[in-house]
Amino acid sequence: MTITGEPAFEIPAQVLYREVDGQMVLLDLASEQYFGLDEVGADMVTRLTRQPFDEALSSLIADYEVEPETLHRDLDELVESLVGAGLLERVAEG
Amino acid sequence: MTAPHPALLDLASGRPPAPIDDEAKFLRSVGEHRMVATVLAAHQEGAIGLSPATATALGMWDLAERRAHLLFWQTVHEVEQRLAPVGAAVAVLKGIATESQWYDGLGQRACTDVDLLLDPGAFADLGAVVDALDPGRGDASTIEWLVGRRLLQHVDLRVGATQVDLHFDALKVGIPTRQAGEVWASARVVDTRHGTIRVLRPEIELVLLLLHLNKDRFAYLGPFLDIARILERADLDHGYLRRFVAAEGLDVPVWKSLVAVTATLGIDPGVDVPRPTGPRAWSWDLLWGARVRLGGHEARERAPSVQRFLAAHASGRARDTLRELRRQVVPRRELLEVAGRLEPGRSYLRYLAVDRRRFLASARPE
Repeated sequence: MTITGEPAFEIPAQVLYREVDGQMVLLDLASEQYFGLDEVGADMVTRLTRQPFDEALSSLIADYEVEPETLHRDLDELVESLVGAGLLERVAEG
Repeated sequence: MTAPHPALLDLASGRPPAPIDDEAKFLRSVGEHRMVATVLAAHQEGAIGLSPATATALGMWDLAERRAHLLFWQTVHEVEQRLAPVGAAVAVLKGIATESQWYDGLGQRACTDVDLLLDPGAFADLGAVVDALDPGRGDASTIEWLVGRRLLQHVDLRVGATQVDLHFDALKVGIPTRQAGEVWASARVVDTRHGTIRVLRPEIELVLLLLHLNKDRFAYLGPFLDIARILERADLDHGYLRRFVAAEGLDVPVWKSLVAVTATLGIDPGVDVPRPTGPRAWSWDLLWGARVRLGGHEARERAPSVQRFLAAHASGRARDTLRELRRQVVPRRELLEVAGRLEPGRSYLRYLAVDRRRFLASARPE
């Protein structure tokens, strides 16, 4: 269970990233591969790495005109793909 | 000549940038003149408007630079670990040392290798130092012999995947640095975000960077910013700076370079810069004058040997300069082999003949 106030995810140390015009460019030092996130993806990652998951979800629902279920599903899919690619990892529980 | 895009010069000088009509051409100039971080920052701040594709390309470039710098930091710490059993220490020169002190973050200053200055106290056991750092070389004893005779000022080593330029002489301009002991003794240990390193005091770092601009023939705009940063951010002791430069006899290349950089960027050096005159100053203008500066890769490739003339622009160093000229005209075979310029078994005389032609071609004033 995520501790309230702490972010659910973090970008691993072996991943360098840079926000450019609201988008995000990532470089995985292990695979030496670049990845790009569009503005929405970059916004999702930014919130996930700053807020607990539920808070990130709520704030995204408040800011985007989209059905909560759809956004939840999209967020889950993004998290799954980023975690799978090693670009995002769950913050270890204290 | 591949001069920097006018907008780059404007950004470097803190002026509103000229319009960018052709982004592909601009991007090439950004890379060539090592201005990625500056341009990306200007774009982020809204000083220039680039297309998303160009901005993304710069973002990727920036990450690649940061990746390289992280590797350089690992290398520095690896070197320190390998040298600890030998009892030798190093100072970090230029590159990440300059970046960590005078820039705001990783990857802000482009660099391609790691430059280190070896503690002169370790020269007595130089073979062990070289073996510890690059055990595959097999010429450690030759290096020790050459350095002992002051014939070799640096050597390129491979430490892991990184090229390390190990200086035995901080300034590396051919003639020996007279104040080698002072350079080492005045080096200071600084804490950076990436660990603790030993660095030169800022006045000597400034001199080193100005001399290095000569070696590159002022080809790239990015290194000009080093000078601007140090002038802006370092608490320089101008009296010490003048005394250091005078003691080395390097007034012409140092002060002329400082004037060249500050005039190009339109910045105030913060002090009255001496204006050397005479034959050396005239000769310097001929070889490093305004018309040959900021020529990018083309200018550098056209005159790869121009740095060999640097020693001849030192004053009061006639004996050292003659020795250096002799070393250049008739270099020892061992020196060429250590530098990788002559493979074992190849004809030494043939090398000299080819080198003479190349040298004379590059020395021709434009």
